[in-house]
Amino acid sequence: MGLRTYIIRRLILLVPTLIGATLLIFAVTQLFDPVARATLYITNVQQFTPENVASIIEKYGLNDPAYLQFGRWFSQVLQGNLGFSRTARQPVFQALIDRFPATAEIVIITAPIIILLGIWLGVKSAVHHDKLVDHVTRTLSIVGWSLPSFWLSIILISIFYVGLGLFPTGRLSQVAQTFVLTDPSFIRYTKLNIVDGILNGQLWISVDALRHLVLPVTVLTTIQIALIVRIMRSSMLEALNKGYIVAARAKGLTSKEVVNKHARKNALIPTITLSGLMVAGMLNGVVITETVYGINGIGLFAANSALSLDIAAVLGFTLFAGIIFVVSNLIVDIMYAYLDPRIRLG
Amino acid sequence: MKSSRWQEFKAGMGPRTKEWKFMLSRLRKSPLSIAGMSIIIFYAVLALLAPLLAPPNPSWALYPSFDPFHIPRESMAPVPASPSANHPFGTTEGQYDLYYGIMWGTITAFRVGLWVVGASLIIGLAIGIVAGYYGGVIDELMMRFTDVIFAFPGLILAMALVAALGASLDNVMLALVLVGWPGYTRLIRGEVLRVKQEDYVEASKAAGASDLRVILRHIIPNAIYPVVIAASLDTGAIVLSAAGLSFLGLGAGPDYADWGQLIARSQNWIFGTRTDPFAHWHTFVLPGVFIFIFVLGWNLLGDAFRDILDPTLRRR
Amino acid sequence: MTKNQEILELQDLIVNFYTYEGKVEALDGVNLKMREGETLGLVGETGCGKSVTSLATLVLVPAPGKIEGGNARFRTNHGIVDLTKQNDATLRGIRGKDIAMIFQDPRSALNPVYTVENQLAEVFMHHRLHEMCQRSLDEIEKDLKKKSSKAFFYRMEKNFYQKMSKNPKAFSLRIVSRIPIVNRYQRRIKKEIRKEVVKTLKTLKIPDPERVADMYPHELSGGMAQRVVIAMALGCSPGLLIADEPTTNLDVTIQAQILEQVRELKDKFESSILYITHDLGVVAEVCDRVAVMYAGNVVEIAEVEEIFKHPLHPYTQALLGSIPRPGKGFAPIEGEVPSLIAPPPGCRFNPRCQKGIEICNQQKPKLIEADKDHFVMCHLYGEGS
Repeated sequence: MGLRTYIIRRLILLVPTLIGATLLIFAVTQLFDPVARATLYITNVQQFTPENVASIIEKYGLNDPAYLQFGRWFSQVLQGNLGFSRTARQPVFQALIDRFPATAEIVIITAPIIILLGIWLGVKSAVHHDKLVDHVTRTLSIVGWSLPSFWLSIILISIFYVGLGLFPTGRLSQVAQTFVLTDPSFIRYTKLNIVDGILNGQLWISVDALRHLVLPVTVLTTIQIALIVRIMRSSMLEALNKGYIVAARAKGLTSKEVVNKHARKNALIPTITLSGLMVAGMLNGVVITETVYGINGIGLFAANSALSLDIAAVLGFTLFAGIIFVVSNLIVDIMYAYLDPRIRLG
Repeated sequence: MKSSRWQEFKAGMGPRTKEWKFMLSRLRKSPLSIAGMSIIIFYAVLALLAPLLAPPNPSWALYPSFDPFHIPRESMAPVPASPSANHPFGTTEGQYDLYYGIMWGTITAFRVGLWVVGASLIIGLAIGIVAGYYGGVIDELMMRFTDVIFAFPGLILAMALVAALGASLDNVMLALVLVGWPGYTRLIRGEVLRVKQEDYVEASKAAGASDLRVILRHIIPNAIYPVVIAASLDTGAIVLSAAGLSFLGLGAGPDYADWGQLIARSQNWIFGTRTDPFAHWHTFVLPGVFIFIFVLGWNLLGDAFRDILDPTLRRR
Repeated sequence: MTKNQEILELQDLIVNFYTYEGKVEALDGVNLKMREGETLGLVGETGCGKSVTSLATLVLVPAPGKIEGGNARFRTNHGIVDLTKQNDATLRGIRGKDIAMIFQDPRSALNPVYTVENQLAEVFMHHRLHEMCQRSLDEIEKDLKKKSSKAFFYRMEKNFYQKMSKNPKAFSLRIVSRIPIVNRYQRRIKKEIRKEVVKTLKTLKIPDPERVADMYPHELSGGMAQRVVIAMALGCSPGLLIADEPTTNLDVTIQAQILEQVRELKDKFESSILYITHDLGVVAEVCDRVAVMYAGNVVEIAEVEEIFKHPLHPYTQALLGSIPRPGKGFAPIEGEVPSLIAPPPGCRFNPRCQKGIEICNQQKPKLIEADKDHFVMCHLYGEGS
């Protein structure tokens, strides 16, 4: 079949899944009364006055049967209109785009750490299994997985910020924030402070941003890494028991080559499949972490909207998160096919 | 007649009981499982004794709407008080007694964990077994449906559901069930598909066994192990999710005995006072420790199960 | 080299496995001698220790197993070495080059995520690197003579290959091999290796070797996969080839083809072959001499014809007697293979032996030469008789 065909097939399968996902979100919207649902269709705050509400309900047929409503709402979503957020006082889509870089900054740093460190620890654990390294790694990862993220976040703030003053909360310090927002020479190319700092030659901004990221990244890593370590360890153990390992040794390869070349690639396959779960875990994790650390990303947006029952925002965010998740699963599946030749020809 | 059927059953179960005895013995010896079990038993005892250890004020019982899960408060003063004789764990914001909250919170934790996992299991297994065993259109439909739910990260979808249904602990539990059952469906379906093809299932069908008999006697006992592992790990995860949602303000109300909610009340106080940054440590450290150890217990047990119940990895 | 020199001698080899259920005494003092150029069959029931013996020879017994006694003397170009006492580096030089192994299940012996070429190339990269580098250098010289504009690059490549030839693990080489455009110098040696891979595949009569080289193991049929495994083993023309039940997992028709192949290779390469099997028919076809194993011991060794005509050990006799023949019916051996965790005292075959005498359950017999070039491990022969 080849890799290309596999990718195309998976892309095609994406469509029904996405449609199904939007259906689910739509079903949830039906739990609300028409007045609340009106926020899904408007694009600025002026429209939402008591007089207009009735006409909006009329115009978008919010009292019509569900399937008609779905058609209208779906076509609107496809045009990028996710409704208006009461709490953010902007269109939902715009609110998400504005807040996305803050979350992206956290995720871009955390994900590689979790994956690379997790794989390394998993391999070490498997190769030295039942020895001290193994026991310590496994214990630490179970501990990490059991910690409530909000609790760990608070404890870290208490120790490292309140106590030691090393790593502050938020995205940037006051000074840096003012500079980034108001200084005319600073161009926000990517809205990622670390990158922008480098691109503008203002390294102190990058350093400041990094300092603020240490705690949230630590929280997310500590909690998620158990997943990768565990799966990598068990799949390595499985791989090391396979016949091709003995065969490789019989050819005269060193232990290191056998582990790194033969076992690891096979063990990576189930691990990659599980990194989809890691993405979900991170999307879940940023909601709470951003709330505790006061980082104005999409997670904080979601938490605030849910609390204020701002349904357009909550559902817009959920749909957004769903799409990110589905796409990342697609990428994971493609990587899986790349790694495991047996899949492509199935 | 009856006695011989029973003896037949016992004989048939012979090798299986031997396996179970072997597994039980390994469970008893594994340090992971001992630790996990001890923790869970400790908490179970706490939960059972909570009414004794933290008795609600007897005068309240007179009120018809009495609910012991509402934490008593002596005043409305916002600043938390440190641990003292009256309040062994101190009080949190609004003078809610932490000791009371944590003790009754144990009951809440068990309630949330066991109900949610139990309900998810029942729904998930029922659908999964039917889908896996009968295949065809039913299977396709079910799988598309679970795929749709899987398109969303769990906590986020649960959040959306709670926002739609209204913030309360019961709605949190409902939302977690709705988001959680597909996981078990996928798991059991995969196992059922695998076991369905085994020779002993064919043999049983060829001997004329009804579908129900085949499912109960052959498919479930061989397909159930990953589910047991998942369920024990899940209990901890569910409690964490529920605590997280309560922390965000979407779950239990402000005076309810729920660990997550207690930590939410501590957020304003993590900076301590000007002189002592850790002045209010008890407000967040204590409830957090209780959640952490509780979840740790279930995770240890689940991990022990995973090491022991995986038939391919045993007898190493 | 004289044909009658010994190439392998196993003396009192003891291998124990420390498992959850107890200490499994897998090899209980195995004695074996192999001569150069001969094909020695190693027969026995499942579980008697044949595979463990082969792994022990290569010192590749997997945990929880340990070699705990005896030695395995092997003749290399530099003399006779005891494999059990060598360090890892020496053993790695021998594995794949002087002693090679063919495995029982070809599909599991091949790594599913790498192509055939990749896995064959490993053998060459490890043991024939110098030769490959030399060929690449020769090609470079030819290119340099053409006086093209790329002379500068050719000289750089020459530098790399000279370094690779002397010290393949050099740090500088490791870095350079990771830099995207610079590491194109590796194309040359990859070309040479691919030529060699295709050549080896052709030797095994694999059809369309260019295509097969790019295939993944799961795309190969059982017979093809086994040929690839054999090709891997023969890549460096080993002096000793250990074949661990190479045809057990294959169809009978494929089995015949593989056996034919093995016979041809035997003649062509003049390697010594340790052929492990449980099938006496195969032994009769392919082997010169035969060693019979039972419960962790070699109980009889003789030439094939001799053993079929005059089996001495009661087990061998029972084994040959149990082969079903038309008109004869079934005569299985009574009893069961003993547990190796708590083996019976004295001779391990005693509980099932019809001819046991008193000493049999007290003392273990030794392997002695009961007849000309015919060795038995039984109290019925030798000092006592």
